[in-house]
Amino acid sequence: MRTKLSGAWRAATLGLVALMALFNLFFTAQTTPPPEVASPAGPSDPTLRQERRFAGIRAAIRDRGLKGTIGYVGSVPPSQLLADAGAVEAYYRAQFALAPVVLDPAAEREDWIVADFTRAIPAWKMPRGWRVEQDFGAGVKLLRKEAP
Amino acid sequence: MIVSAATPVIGSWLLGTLVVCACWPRRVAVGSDLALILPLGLGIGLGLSSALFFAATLVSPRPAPISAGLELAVAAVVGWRLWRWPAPTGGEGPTGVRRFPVGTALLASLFGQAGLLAIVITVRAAGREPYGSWDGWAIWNLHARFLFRAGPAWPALLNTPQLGWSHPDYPLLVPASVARMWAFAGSDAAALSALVSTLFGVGTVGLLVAATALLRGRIAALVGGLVLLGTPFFVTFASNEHADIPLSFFVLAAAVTLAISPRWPRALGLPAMAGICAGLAAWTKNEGLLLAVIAGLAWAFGHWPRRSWRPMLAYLGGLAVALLPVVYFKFAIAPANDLVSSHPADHLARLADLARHRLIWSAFWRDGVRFGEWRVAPFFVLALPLIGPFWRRLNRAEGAVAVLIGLTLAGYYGVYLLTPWDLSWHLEYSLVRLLLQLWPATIFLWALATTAPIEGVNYSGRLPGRAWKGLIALGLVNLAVAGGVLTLLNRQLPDNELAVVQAGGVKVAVIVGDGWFERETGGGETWRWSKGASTLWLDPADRNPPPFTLRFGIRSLGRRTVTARLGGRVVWHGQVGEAREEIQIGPLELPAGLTPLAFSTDEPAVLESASPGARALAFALYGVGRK
Repeated sequence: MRTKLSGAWRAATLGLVALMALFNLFFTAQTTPPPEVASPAGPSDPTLRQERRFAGIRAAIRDRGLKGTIGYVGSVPPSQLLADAGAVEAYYRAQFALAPVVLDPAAEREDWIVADFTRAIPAWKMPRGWRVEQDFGAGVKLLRKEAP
Repeated sequence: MIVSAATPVIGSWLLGTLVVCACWPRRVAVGSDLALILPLGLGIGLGLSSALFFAATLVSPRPAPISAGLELAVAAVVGWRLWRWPAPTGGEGPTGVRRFPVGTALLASLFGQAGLLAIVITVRAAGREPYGSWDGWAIWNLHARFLFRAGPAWPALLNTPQLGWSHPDYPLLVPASVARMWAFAGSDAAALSALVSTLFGVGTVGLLVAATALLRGRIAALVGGLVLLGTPFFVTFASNEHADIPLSFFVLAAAVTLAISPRWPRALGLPAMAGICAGLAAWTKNEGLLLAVIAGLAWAFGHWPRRSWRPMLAYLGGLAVALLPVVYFKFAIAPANDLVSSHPADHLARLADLARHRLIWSAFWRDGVRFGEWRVAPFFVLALPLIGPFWRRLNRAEGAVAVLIGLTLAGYYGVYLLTPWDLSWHLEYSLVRLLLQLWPATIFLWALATTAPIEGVNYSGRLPGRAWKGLIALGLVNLAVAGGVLTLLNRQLPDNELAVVQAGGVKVAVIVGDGWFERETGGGETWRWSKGASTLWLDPADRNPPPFTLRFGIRSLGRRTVTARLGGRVVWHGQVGEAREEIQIGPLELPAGLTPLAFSTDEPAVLESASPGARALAFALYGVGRK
């Protein structure tokens, strides 16, 4: 009798566990929509957006045979980079998109610079001593140190 | 792409399966334990092949052929040894006639449906973040890109100080596995990184179910599998390209080899395999180094008192082999770990800091009940089958699984106590993932404790004819249910699609463009707030769609005029207030292809509240496309 009771208890409680697991899984399915459809607005995933934004400059870096470390300038001066969470994120995402070159925020010591401006900026804000070698749009430019 | 992805997966799986077979107790026919050997082989194979690929990247700019050659050589040596073994004697042939396993068949149906649902969710989660979430792209995929794109120069590049933020000291099982897939496929497609991650998730579920079935029967095994599949964080994270799910696989594998070891007390292959799993855990994440020590202690506890040291030596042998790439990487390539280089011994006073203890305990409690992202946390229900002296259902080796989990948790606790980082941030950032690492092994322990050991379980007996008919009928019902579930899932809209409107038999997708906040739902309604100027894109499925009418509800934060233009022509203009109004625009005549429906407003957006981070909202669209 006791064995039957314990068997029934086990079956009932394990059944309950199974039902609860299914409930949680169905809820997860409800809250996990299918991947986005292609849209002129572009993907909402920021990593994917940056991948596409940097695709042109990545190819240019490869075609020019640039390797090792190159400079990076973002929308804030290098001295303020670490204090600005948005700028840090932009720098990390640029690094991910452009690996295997290593982006150096202390850009002035490099011959080449990746400029990552979130909006078009006037020429006077460009780092002095560099010229735009190629403009890829969307604020992405490849800069080259001018000959002294 | 599928073929190029399948080749490295099958290759590493075969390699791992051969190694597991070589470690399996020799007197047992491996065929009878194939359900357990295959998931073990999947994870161990991915781990070993990643180590071989890592070695190949150090010597060649084209590591794929060298890695493939090394894998073939290892497989040939192990295969030759297996071939030379005497024929197994412990196999069990079909015996007797079994009853129709009603409970098992029903539960297996539920498990199958749950597995299907989990696959859909995992694929969708991968589609939303193709490169994974933060650590996925910023650490694991970034390191994989250096291995794949930089040739033999990658160690020097990854060690440059500018990349210190990406934790270049982290072990390379996941990056090397991903880079290996890319190298074989010839392309660094994001889907292949997600595939590596997902394979470990699938392997973890398979291993949990197969090991529990061996020790406690199929009911406990299937329920245990359902508990894991019913953990939303596990399912959505499985494809997220982090190293936590792979680590959870190796923790579970170490626990499984420990729990099954009393069945073959003289076999030295099992402790060797436990050592390999612990070593591969250390090759996966730094936390795995802790497991390498703790799994050894758990083995000693599980087999105490024993006169022979040979199992422990076998464990250490397996561990030493799997630790080879870790040792080389840590000593020859990687910079010092941030936790270690902070000289934790200098901070021993933190051990006595009660405020830190309180913070850690409260975080363990908080995240312990929520880490699975459950809609309803399952802990109360999970406790019900354990009522009574459940510990009597566990033998000493199985109890050692609890020791393994407990000591690992204690180790994590100690790391938090000594961390040089801000403790609150460190807990907030990492604890849920550490708990996830231990969750499959915890479910395994729970499943063992719910049911008494079943000796001599034999599933190979013949089923009577009537039972076969029942099983076939159940299979057909399952197919129908799966079809229904997939149809329902297919009706869900992507995040950036507001509606699919029928226009005289032609479908027109209403796609979200710029200027909108995330979709919100509540009370059976779906809406999106506009930031002001915002665009919807209308995408007819046909080249010549008939005119159609777009219906939606609209309300505004503050009174304003809203104008809608289709291709520059005003198609609607009206005053909108706080009260929701139902409007319709049309009939709209669409050209082929995407057409913008641009909204503008005369008043600026208004802050929704005075709290920090409040959004500036203009107007919201409700129920777009509803009839």
